[in-house]
Amino acid sequence: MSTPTPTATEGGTAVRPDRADSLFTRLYTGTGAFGIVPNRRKFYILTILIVTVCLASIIFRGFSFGIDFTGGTKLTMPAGDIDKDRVAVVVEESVGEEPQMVQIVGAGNSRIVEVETRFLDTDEILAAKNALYDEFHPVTADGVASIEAIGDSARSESWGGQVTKNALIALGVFLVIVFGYIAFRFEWQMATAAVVALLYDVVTTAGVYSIVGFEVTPATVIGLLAILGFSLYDTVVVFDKVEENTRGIRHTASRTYAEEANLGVNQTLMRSIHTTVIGVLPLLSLVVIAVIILGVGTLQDLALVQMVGIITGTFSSVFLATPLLVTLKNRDPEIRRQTAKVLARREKSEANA
Amino acid sequence: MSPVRPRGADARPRPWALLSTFFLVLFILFLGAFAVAERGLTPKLGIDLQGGTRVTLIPKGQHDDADLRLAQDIIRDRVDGLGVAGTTVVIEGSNIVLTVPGEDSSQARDLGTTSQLTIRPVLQVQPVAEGDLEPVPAAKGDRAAVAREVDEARKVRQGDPQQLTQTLAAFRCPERDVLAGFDDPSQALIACGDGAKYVLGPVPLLIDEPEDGKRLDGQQIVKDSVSSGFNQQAAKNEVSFRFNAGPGQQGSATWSRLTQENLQRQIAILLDGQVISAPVVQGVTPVGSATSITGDFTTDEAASLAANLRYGALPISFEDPNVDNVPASLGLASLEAGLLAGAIGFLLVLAYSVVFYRLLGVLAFISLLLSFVLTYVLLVFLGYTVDYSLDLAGIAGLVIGIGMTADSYVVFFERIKDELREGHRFRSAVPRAWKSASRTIVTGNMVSLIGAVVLYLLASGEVRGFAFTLGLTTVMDVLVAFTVTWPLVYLASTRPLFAKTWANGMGRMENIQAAAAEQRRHDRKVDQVTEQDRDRGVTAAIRGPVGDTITGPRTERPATDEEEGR
Repeated sequence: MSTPTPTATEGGTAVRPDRADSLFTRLYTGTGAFGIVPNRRKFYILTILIVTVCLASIIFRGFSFGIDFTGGTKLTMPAGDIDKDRVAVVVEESVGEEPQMVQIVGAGNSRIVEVETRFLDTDEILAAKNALYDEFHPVTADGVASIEAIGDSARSESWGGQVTKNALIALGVFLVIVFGYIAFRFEWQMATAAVVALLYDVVTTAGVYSIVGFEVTPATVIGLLAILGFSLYDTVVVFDKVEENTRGIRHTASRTYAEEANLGVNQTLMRSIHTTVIGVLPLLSLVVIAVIILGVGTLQDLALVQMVGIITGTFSSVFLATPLLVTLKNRDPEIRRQTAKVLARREKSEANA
Repeated sequence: MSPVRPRGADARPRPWALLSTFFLVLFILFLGAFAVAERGLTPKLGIDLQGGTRVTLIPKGQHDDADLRLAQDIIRDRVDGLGVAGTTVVIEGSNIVLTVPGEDSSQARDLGTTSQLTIRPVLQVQPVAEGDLEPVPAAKGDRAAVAREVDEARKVRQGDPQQLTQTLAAFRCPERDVLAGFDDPSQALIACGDGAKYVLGPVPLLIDEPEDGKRLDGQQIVKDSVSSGFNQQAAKNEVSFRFNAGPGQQGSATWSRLTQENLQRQIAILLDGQVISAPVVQGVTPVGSATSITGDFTTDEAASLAANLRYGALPISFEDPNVDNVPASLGLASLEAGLLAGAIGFLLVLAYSVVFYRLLGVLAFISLLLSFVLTYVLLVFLGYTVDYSLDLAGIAGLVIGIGMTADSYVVFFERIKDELREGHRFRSAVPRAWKSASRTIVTGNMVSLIGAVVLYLLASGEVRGFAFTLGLTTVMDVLVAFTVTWPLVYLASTRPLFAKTWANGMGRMENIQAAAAEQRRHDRKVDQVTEQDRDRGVTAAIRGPVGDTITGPRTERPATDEEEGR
């Protein structure tokens, strides 16, 4: 343990991270120039602010629920150059009620008309399909005009509710198992911090959906659960490094737990960024391609929620989970003693200088 | 300076052994997939990718697993009755999901509805030789054709009881009953079932009902009253039930009259036009009392009859079905979109990896591709062994899996940077980095796997496909990281080429690495010197230009193993 803290040079000033290095270089080399843990109060305030906005939006604005939650029937048909108002009229004449929504989605040859109505029974669906076929003669992939080119999906009201219920159960089970796993693999403080970060992910992702007004489908609800795995992965990688840095910290007096944790975050910061970008790239292509070719649908729903989730997940791993860990750890008497020791020692060496 | 042998790290990595293990596994899987696959090496596709219909039946209220399985069996029977090839009926969570490939699937929607239970007096019975059935061409979805068939069947099988009795001898029971559920209740009927063919009277009109009013059917049975069990006295199995009675409910009175009129004769219980039981009436049932059917049926048959009486075949009633009918053209467009998104995702990840990790990025990308090949072959294999079909959500899982898989090598490469930061040369940094990276990779993927498994077990619908491929890629990720990425990068690290920064992309680390290495050398020297030449006062001279090039706090502490060891 002979290496001194920043070596005194000719000038006699302690060497701090070289501020002349560009932001990117500091980030890239992971030399720990970002005070994430020291500024944790700021991040807590930011977090509380974000969560408040999200909750407010969820409570007051709510979500825009898709057909899966409201119940109903959706008919889809190749669009060609069909006038959607005509489609609305034809459907209204056949089922005796104005459709709730008619829209054209997708692009190029894949443009399709979507018609949403109340829940139709088998005969009504057939009547509507026949009417649409007689009027527009939609063409299948083989280039043949056929009634089979018209697709339909029907949703009872209970479907979305069932999916949501299952999702909440899955969320609960997941949190419990994961808490157990991290507590076993690392320690309970890390498990607590990770689970809080996850809850944050859930709230913010839901909040973004509420604020932007993206349609909520069962795929979205479930996608939300899947991103928790991703976010947790990120948190675990950071914690792994923090744990490595702080192993045996009780027996040293050179750096505090907070400092080691901050170093750990910094060392994994570039990885967090790489992971986020690499995770987002395929998703981005999925969203873009899905929207261009298909319009809205499962692919887009899943990809979109993942993308929102990965971004909030990275934020929570870096700016929330680790600071929380430090806050929790600082309540541990042993860690407190060690911190006091480090600070006292530092004061002494400064006085000597 | 000779490269430092990493202590503790995998002392003698055997890259070739690991690589050959991987390719052996891949080869065996390929063989397996070839052996089971029917249409070349393509995975089975879900109906949202190949077109078709998926019907999800959600039970109403509470039910137990046995009921659900019974319902599944009954629905499967109904599907077989429709003669639609390739239809699967599976239980997903608490739902029953039917998938019908191809575009003709309009009938599938109604399979989950409770079938019609009717009661008719038996006029005449003749046994049917086993297997002597009239084949019926399946009417293909066309409603008009089905209606024509029903009309023709009615002409033959319904009408004047006298005439029907004459026809009965020559009548051959059809393989698939087109008239099932479409018979006219006000007329006599020729029906089959239970090893016999019957001429049956009209369904009795409920007392006080007009000519076209309600007739006696399963609706009038009090559901809670149905029970089955063993009758000690008769030493036979028995099913008992009761019809409703009370103001406006004439079920029991009608039944009572029916038993009176048909004393010592048979009454047929029909389900969707098929006779499921034709007991002989032994006594008149007083209005409001229960009736019991005692017979030579097994316990299971008694339970099944009871279930039929209770629910009209299905032991559970279902909500309005969720139906997805996807035209093949839309399915194809989805498949293309998914594949295109995957390909572009791959290329973007490749580009990003090469920018940051140069040749190492290329190696990483090779492992990513191999991971994909492995997953693909496994999907083909599972498609034909456990009937796994890849759906749209599954493709989304695969595309998202690309990012998750790529993350493993990012963890590894960033760890290499850590080691460089501590002053190790590239060559010795690689095995040291792998030691800690592999632990992180396993821990991280464990968490992902827990997530995928929980999702798979608890989620329903399309999401299971997503969870499945996500879980699969997670497992493949770990496998490939250990048997491909690590040995490849290790082999590369032993070549001088990869120590060059243009090749490993770690140029920015060069100064830090050099400074840290320098520092370590000095530290070692200082220590030696201080020990040997303490008295000669040489110490101060050695502390030189080191400090101001060290930028990282990491290097402020004596971090390397060597130093800590002393």
